[in-house]
Amino acid sequence: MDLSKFDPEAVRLFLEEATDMQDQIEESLLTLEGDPSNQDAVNNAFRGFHTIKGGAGMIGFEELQKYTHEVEFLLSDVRGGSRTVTEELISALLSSIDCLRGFCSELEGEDDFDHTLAEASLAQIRILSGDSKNLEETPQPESITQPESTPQESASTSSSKDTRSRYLIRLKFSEDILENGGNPIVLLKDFHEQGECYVTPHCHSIPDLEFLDPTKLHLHWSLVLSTTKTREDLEELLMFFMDEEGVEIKLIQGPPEETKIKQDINAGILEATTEQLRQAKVQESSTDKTLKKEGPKSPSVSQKSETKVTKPDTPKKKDESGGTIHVSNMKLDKLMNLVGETVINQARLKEFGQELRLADRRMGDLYQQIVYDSDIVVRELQDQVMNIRMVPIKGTFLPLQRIVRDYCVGSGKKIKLQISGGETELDKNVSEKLGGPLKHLVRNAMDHGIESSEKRLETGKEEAGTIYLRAFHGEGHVFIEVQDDGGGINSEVILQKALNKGLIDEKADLDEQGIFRLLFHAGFSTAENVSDISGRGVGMDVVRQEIESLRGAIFIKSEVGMGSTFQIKLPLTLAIIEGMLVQVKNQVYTIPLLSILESIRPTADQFRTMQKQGEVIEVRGEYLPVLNLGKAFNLESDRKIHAEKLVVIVENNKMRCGLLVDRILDQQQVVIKSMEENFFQIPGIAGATILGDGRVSLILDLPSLLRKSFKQN
Amino acid sequence: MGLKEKSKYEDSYEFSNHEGQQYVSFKIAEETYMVDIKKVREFITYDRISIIPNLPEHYKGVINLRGSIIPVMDLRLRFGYPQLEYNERTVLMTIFVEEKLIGMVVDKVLDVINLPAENLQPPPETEMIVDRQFLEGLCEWKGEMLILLNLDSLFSQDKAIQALTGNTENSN
Repeated sequence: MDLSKFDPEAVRLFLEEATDMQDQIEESLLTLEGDPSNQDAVNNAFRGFHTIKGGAGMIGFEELQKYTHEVEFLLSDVRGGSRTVTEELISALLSSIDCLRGFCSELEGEDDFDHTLAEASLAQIRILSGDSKNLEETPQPESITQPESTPQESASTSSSKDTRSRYLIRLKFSEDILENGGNPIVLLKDFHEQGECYVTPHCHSIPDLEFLDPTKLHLHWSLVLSTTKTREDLEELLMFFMDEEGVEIKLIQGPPEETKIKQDINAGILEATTEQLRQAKVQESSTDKTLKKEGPKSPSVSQKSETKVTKPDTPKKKDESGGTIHVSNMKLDKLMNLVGETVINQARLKEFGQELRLADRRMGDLYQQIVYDSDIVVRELQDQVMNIRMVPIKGTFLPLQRIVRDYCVGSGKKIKLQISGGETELDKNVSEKLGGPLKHLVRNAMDHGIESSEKRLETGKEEAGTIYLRAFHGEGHVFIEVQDDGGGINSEVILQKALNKGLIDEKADLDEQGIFRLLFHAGFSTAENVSDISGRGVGMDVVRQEIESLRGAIFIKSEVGMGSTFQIKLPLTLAIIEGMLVQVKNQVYTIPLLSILESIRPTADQFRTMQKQGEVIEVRGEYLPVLNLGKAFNLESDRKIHAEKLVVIVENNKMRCGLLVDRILDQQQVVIKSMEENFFQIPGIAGATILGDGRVSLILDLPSLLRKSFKQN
Repeated sequence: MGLKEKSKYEDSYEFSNHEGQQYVSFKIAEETYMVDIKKVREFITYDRISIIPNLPEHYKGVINLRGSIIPVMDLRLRFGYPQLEYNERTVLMTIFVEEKLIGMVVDKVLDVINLPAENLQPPPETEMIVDRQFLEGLCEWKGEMLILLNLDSLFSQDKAIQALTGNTENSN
């Protein structure tokens, strides 16, 4: 697709909005499926499509605009109650979201979207819309069950002439509406399509030519519209303009909906609008004249029957929930950097305070008080900035609902997904990277965990299986659990299979957790039949890898016949780790504390050599390889006596190793900085951090260091 | 530095300099080199470096530049000269290379010069005596030969080598 015709900035804004909307729509549709009478869900979905349509129009993406228009059309029938919610309908709408996502990724320039998919989806939508038109001609008994839409509904479905309402619509936009992408002509055309429409333009505010600014809008319009459409329909057209002060819809003649609305308006709004009303009346009289000239359409614009309607509820709600802004990760990272720097400077100021105190005690005390005061602020600042990166995990959970639903439709199994703790916050990066592994675990639970309906009934369980998805905080970590009430994992079967595959030998003495861990071995799959969803045996080891790359861990609990629980334990943030600072020659390195088992000061006779080079150390009867950090990093050539040194014993992935260091300095939380930002990745180094004195300390990447040391020994 | 900020500087140079480009010239051993001034961010003194293991000799390590970790390359070593002892007068130029910021140790910073584009000539057609890809051009200026450095290739070659060794390590 030729992307050059779009304005990249507008596209970026559109994509941000559209991505949010797609998720919202999806959520609403799934809610709607569970509760077909949920009018909020319909409205949300409708609004979502409408917003995307508007946005697509704004950037000039006609294909998408047309597409969403058709979907919106179908949804408006659902909203009006002339179309009942069926599984087929939801499926069609869900697949239309996939199409939207396709369009968007194409717009992002990521990959080309297969437009035949959109056509297929469109055809499906049209068939469904066609259906509803036939239905529309017969009176709708079920519309009674939806009291919200009853009066309007009866007005629009039984298309007798009496129910035509006449509206006076005033369109006076702010001058800069054109700059903001508003297009009044399109709006006027839209109104024309609603029924009989008479338009009076008002030209009196057009300035003289020499003062005319062609980028500003100087015209405004009054419309008299005779239509079977409801006020809501008209407001929908004006959705993006309802914030404008001079835009309003008044009923001149029609069904007595006005009284109802009158009640809705509370005293406060009335008060606020009195002034506007008064102004409106002045304008009204001038409009009157024009209208009379136009013809006998509205001989008396009755002031009594009209009620000024302020902004309708819908856009208002949107404003409230839309109280967020999108900020690029780059800006956040920069902010993090600056705060990190401030924290480091703070440490230097404190050090200086101690020196100052030695020289001049009184001044030193005063100075330190100031530093401590600002310290409080800086720490609060750091907390807040870190907090910005935290997002509720809900965003990662929601797509799983869809996966479960699609799986149930496809396989005939009945599965409920119960989500709790969706508001639990964790680092945005972690949350995003968690999507893949969670998807996998949920699929596994559906495919291998939950039994078929017959089998469930046989064993006295409820027919529908349940998968619980939970998130919660604890022990300074975030826990996420995927639990199913299915058949559980049979450790005997796993053990047997591992033996057959030669993953373990018969002598291996494994406890239950150890046996379950075999599941994470590459190439291990216990599924009796392999489906397209899972069971190709490449899943679980990837899940483990991804969790570990987030510095997390995964545990399995299971009981045969009762179900299984996969528990993921994650750090609150990726940006900070607990580290131990060690000195090697004049360099300071940081070792992640999680991997450290113990530190010892060995005696000379604990060291042994093998083949004159590889060194091992004997710790309580066990021989561990020793990695001399100074030698490995080419910091020294002389062979000092090891007895003066310390050995930090670390473990990663069942490999244990001693790191030979000169001194252990401190244990502290360090902010991880990427090496790749200005450099490239370096084997053995996971990143860097800045110490209190401004020096750089490299963070050791133990997995790669250990691999290396095991190769050498 | 934000993109906007950068482009603002570029604009101001466009205005101040009608005759050609501006370059920063510096000395390495007996040779005089220059780089596009728009690529240079600042000059700092050499201080407290952290050594990075297992890298080519000319990478001295990384430093903390107001919260960013930036690598330091000694151009003397890069071009095969013996290293000079670092002292408090040793200068580090921080330079933008492919959107990364890199510190380069040079012997001495000389001057900012205005150079009309037509004065630049392509480097000699030889592969025998120099790594030609590091050279973007030559020019005669006040009786001296200035060598315009191609910074991008200077760094990307190392990156390629590093990526290669990194990969072989992982695949083993």
